[in-house]
Amino acid sequence: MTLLFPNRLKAFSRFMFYFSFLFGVVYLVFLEGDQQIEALFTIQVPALLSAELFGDLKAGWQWVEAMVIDEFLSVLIIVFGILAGFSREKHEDELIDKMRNDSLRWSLFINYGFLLLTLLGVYGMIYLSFMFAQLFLILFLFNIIFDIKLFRHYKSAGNEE
Amino acid sequence: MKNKIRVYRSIHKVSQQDLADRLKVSRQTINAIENDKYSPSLELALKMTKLFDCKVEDLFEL
Repeated sequence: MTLLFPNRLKAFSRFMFYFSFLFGVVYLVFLEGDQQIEALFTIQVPALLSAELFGDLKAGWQWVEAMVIDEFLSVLIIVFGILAGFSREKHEDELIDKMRNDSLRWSLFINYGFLLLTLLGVYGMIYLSFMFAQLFLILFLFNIIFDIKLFRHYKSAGNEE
Repeated sequence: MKNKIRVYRSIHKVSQQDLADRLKVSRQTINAIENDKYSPSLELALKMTKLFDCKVEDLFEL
């Protein structure tokens, strides 16, 4: 039996995933560094490990001040990305399962191809941005490939033969 | 893998939707199998042969 989430989570999760992802891209491209937004989202948060730039590593339970908008968006993207991709379809069957597995395989190949290109062709501080983007790329690719496959699948049998 | 599901369906006067309902799959899946876009699992193939009362090799061929 395939481990999947209930179908009732699908539509909302899909909407929230693409919305969060789009908001994340908009934030990274246009809003990152905006002092008003950063001040609004800077709060005290609990931490297990922390280290200031060039500072010592502090281990153990502690409170640190952090700008949490990227954590907030990351959690939304991960949770809703997984829920959207791994929720049952209305008519979940073996072909849907195969499409899900194919999408996962393709997203893994593309993601690690992109990672190889990043490792071999990107240097300096921008390398960190690329690595950060890679955290979510596999989930994004998986969802977009799976949704395209589903769209084509449902469209393919419009008329009964 | 080729199949004769469409032929057997018409002999037994069963629509794609009826067959899909009996096999607990979607109509799109039956359509994909009939058009050789998807090879069904052994379990699904055996369920089909049981419904059409035929052998696997009657319904499917390599």
